[in-house]
Amino acid sequence: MSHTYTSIGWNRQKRVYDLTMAAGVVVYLALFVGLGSAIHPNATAETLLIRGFGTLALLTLHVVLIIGPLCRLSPRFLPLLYNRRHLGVAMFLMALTHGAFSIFQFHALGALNPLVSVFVSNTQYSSLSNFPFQPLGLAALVILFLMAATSHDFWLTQLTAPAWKRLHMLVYVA
Amino acid sequence: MNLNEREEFYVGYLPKAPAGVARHTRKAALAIAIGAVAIAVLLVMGQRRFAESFFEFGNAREFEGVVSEYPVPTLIAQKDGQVGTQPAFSYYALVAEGKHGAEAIVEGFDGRRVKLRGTLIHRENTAMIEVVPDSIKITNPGFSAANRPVENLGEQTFAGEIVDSKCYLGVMNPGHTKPHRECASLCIRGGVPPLFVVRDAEGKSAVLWLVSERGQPLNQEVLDFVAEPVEITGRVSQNGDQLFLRADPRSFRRIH
Repeated sequence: MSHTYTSIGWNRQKRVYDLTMAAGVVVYLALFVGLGSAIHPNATAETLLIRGFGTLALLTLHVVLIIGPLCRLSPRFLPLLYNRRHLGVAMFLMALTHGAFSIFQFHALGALNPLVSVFVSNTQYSSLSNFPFQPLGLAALVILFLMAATSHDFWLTQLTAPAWKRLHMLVYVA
Repeated sequence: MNLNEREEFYVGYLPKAPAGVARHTRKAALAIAIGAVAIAVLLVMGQRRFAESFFEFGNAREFEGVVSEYPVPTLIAQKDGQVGTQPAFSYYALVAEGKHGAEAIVEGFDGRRVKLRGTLIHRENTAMIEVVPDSIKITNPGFSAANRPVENLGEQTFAGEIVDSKCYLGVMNPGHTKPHRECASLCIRGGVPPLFVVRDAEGKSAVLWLVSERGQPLNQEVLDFVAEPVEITGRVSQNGDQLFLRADPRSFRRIH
């Protein structure tokens, strides 16, 4: 018996799951940017978008991580687990948008390569209160990318389950 | 769970979930949505107040005045009317596009009357122009202004924060404190003049252009202190409505 991989094995439940997730993303960002503009008229759109995508990615990560324990508590949460993979990849895309916006806003158009600037613009690596947080964010984004890129049964097979599991446990480091 | 719900078995690839499971999933999704909305509202309302600073992005205008290259590249433009018996002047610090200073743009134009195109950046009483490349043109080839008198206000000690003037005055908001440190460092490294922002007990702020003891630009020398609370002792001088603080970076003191 042979097995053929498809990129996504769509079915009705996955479509409903993804549409609900997409609607949630749109509503959250519209609320964050819209309410932010109304309450803070001097705020710039790029600042609100950077903060909106960043907070949304962090919130989505928490939802992704709580699904596993909820399913242990009750099998009625299994529909949330069924398409958790799509939620995780979406979370990476939100984090990527936040990171890309931030790197362009704070590190582009200067005298240094933007990716070099992330690491050298703040050199207070020996300080706790002034420790550069942006390199930590970039490291987290790299971990999330590796997880999103291997979020398919093909990689689960190729890497073997123990290796794939070890890779995806890095979410706790991220 | 009742007996029927205990008998329900969820299979993801089937078109529909069992009724009890579907009902529970809808409740869970609604709870997550309500939580997300609440968190969004709390986060938005919890943000600090944004300063009233402005960058007229996409709206380049023409300016005319006399260029002063030192200590901070500036365009001194005559206002209509006068103050007492003296003409009134507006002082616009000059910067280049991106995270770069304007030294290369204004080199050779010191004391000359020019026209240039640029985008206005302003916050409270301090203004800056982001100069459009190659737009500076001498309007009166025979004109050359003498240096304007500088008023010395003596040696003083201030506690405040070093910021990059371009972002602080309006290009980014917020353009100060720790979240903006990396950008400020990159701007100052690229030649954007540093400002020293000081606040009194009531929260009112004043800004001083930070230069060396000899009145030369300070850039690389202050990078380690950007966006941190520091105490600086130096000589204060006033040129028009601009304040300058001449100090030795080796004497800067971090305050916690």
